[in-house]
Amino acid sequence: MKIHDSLLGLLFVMIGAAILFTVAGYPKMPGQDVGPAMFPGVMAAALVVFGGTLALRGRMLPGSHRLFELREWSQSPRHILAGLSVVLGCAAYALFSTAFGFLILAPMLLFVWHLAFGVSARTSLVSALLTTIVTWGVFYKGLGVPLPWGLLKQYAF
Amino acid sequence: MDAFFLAFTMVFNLETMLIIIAASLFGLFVGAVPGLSATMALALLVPMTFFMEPIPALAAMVTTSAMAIFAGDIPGCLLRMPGTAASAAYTDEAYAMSRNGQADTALGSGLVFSAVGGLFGTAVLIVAAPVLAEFALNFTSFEYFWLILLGITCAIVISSDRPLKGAIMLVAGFLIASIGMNNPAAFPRFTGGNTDLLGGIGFLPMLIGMFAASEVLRSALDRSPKATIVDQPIHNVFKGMWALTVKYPVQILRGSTLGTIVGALPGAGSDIAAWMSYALSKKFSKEPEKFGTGHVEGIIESGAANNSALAGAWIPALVFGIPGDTLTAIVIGVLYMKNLNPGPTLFTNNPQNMYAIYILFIFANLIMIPLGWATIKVAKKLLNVRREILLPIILLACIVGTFGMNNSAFDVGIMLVAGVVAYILEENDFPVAPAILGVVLGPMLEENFVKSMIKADGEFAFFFARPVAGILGILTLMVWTYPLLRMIWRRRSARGKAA
Repeated sequence: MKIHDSLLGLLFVMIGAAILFTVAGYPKMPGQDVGPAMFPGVMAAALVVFGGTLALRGRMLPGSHRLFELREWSQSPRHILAGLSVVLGCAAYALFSTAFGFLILAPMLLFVWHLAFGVSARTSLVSALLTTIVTWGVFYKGLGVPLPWGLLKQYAF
Repeated sequence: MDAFFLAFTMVFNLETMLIIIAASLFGLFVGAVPGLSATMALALLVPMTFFMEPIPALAAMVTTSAMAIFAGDIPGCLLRMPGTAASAAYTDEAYAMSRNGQADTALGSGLVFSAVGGLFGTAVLIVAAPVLAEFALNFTSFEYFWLILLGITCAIVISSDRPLKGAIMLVAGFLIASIGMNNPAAFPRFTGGNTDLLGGIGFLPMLIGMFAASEVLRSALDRSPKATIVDQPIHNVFKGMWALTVKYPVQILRGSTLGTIVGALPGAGSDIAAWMSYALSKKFSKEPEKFGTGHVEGIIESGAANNSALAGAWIPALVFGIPGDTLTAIVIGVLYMKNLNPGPTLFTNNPQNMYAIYILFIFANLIMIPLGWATIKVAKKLLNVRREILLPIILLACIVGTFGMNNSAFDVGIMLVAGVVAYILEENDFPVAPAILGVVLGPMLEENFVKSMIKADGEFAFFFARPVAGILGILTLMVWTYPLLRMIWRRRSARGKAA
């Protein structure tokens, strides 16, 4: 995903300006000239300057002036699916792991990821189940990480 | 002496030994698989270290990074794909040697001289770190403020061929570090009322997202064809190593020295050290015409450089808390997590921990030889590991590792955002390492800045009042203004010529 420098530079200028606007309302430390706004304020000003320089340089330098370009993966449905599965899978874990539980969600995600990466259904199933069991064993039993039980809470051990 | 013996027992016990062996195998595996970097190995290891005692945790970090850096040579040599960025400088050379039937020599020199470079860097760490620490005991917030600024400036100027984009990433890292209440005024900044953000953005979710999840995403979208392994038998990789040592002692010493120095510079790590050493090797070689055709000289020098840089990078990390490279930025995070706050007092208050780190470095570089040899023996099988099976497993490890630190699904969300943003920015030639430096150094820079401002009562001239602070300040300003001065000088020269 290629985004033109002038567009990215402008984005950084906008982020910097928004931060400057936000920190303008921060209070000062009692009896001091400095406060919580000082450090992020200086950094946001730097972001505005650097972003502006990037945007201007992007406009002036020779080369493609297309603002947005997709890479070769955008021509391949399999690669789009694989990329989407990574993003949506992580999001699904963040949103639903507490409700469904690790032992239900993890094998489902692994199975989908394997398929999306081009692995056969049988290998995907075996790898998904084995990986879930090993990960659960290492993290839950071995390291004591309280992986969520979710729907299987009544069977927790 | 008691501290030394205590350190010895802290390292040579069953738990630490088992962790060292496991971390070594993990580092060798990750380094040998193309597309999985040493940084990714350390990022994935951090959640595990959370559950370890301090010295075993550091043992895992030291051995994993040393092994991964060496193992990166293996796919470079047999596939022409560097396993880690530190091997990229001499990948073409090593591959050319393999095609000429000299894979044994290429892999052997990578292994042996990596270990030699690593031991050299460790020797410098042992000698230099305590001396610097004693000097740094007198440092105040003014010196630290300038030191951090000089360090990050070097990180941008030296380590990146795109300083402007590097600077943007660094500033972004500082701003991310500003989120939450972790500031001298304990004022909640940029939280938007979200209680999950009061403690700030976790270092670990950012790290795993930027260096592991983004790599998985990149691999998912990668359409390049699978590389084929050079079909050459690998015999005795140690054959001829002594002859090479006798033939190229200057190159070994030069590579190790340069690697240690470059590693100690903030922001410049093993990869920069290897590139610089390879270029230097070619420049001073008696046979420069042989470079690129499968000549071992450059591999020896840059192989020594990339592993010596590892130990070199620990010098500023331990003494000042300023990371020498991305790997030590991660290590600093672990040091804080383990209450081994880096700084000169680490040397005075708990010398046994320092001795343990020295012993770990020596031990890791020594066991690299037998374990590296074993890895080379099974290299072809390792290189045939199906990445499409491995990547989902890594992704699950990213998620569970991120979740495990605080048992927080919110952190998994942070990891995902960091991964996607890092992927997009890297696709647009933004180096992501400065952002991690920014996250690590942001709170330290702000704290020292605010302390100095209060001490100076708002008078910026006080920042130059102490001798060392003044020198560091002037040096920093010189590095900042150097590009401008160079531009003015070039324009004047051009006008002079035109006249």
